[in-house]
Amino acid sequence: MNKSGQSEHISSSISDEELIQDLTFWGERKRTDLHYNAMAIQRQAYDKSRKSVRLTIAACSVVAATFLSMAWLTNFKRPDASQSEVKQSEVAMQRTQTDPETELLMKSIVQRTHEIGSRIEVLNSRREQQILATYEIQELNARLRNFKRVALRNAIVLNQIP
Amino acid sequence: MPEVTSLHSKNKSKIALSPDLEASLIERLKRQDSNAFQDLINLHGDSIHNLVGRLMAFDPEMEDAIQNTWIQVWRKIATFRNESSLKTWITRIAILQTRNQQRSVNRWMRRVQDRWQTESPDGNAKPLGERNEDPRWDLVQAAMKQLPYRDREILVLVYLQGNTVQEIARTLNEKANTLEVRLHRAKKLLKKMIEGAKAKL
Repeated sequence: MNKSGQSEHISSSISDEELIQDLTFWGERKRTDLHYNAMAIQRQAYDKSRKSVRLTIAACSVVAATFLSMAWLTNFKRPDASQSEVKQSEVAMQRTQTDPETELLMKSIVQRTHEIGSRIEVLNSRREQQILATYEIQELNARLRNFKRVALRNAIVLNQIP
Repeated sequence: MPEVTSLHSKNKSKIALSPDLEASLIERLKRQDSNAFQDLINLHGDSIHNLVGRLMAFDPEMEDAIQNTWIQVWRKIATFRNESSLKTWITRIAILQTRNQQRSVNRWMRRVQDRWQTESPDGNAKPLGERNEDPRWDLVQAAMKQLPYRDREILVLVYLQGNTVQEIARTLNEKANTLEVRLHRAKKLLKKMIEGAKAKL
């Protein structure tokens, strides 16, 4: 019996111990990476103000707004966006424009998008590469939509904080 | 407050607040004290990051699940009733937010994969961003990513987060028997996937 009371009789060449070792290796190895990721996120989010949750969320909003701005610049804007969504997006974009670091990031992302677009054209004759580029831009597109959603939500949160 | 800011140590994940300190932190959080929220993130940020990362098999979308978790904590702290520890309460929010995020990822992946399979019937092409780093890690990662979310969730919570099935049942308000069955099935499925992958090597 294991710690949860689960019976261990499973017909397999992999024992429970081996499985748990594999799982632990998988989870533990990434923990180091996650630690550094978490530090990076905290640097991004908290460097501007270590003591203010308002600025913490605003920092996240700025990053999200970077992607939102890119979404607008690359014509991913939803045609059915409501007036309030448009207004909130504009507010989020204004935040981006006042932060040189995120503006630089925005420019690099826009440049990357153009590079991907160029790759699609250049690699038109190589079908597999074209599929890969298409996949990447779809993924990027989905993430942009997601960041836009998060940016709007953060704008709401910011408004609720006195 | 000095007693809470002292949590900024390298071993913060191993530090547990005394009941008095936790009560003080909760009281400050309920007053919407932003310094208290900062202390809370410093105290539990890494552990929630690890938990959500493992639950989502390190999908980049994990960042959104983590952000949504903290937003929910900030918004809902007034409803915290001391029926569990603060960490248990936050963990529950993190798991529920991760489930939502995973559903969203699954919906999108289904759309992309339909197109992917149509355009690449041999299935040999890999999406960009998936890099081979360590064969053993990649092998377990591939298997964990393929597992149904709820199966991965129970394996992570039991074997990586060190919870008993009874604790998980209490935290998530689910039946222990159901979780036992799921754990058994998840373990069996993961073994099968790892065996299959090893056989191909």
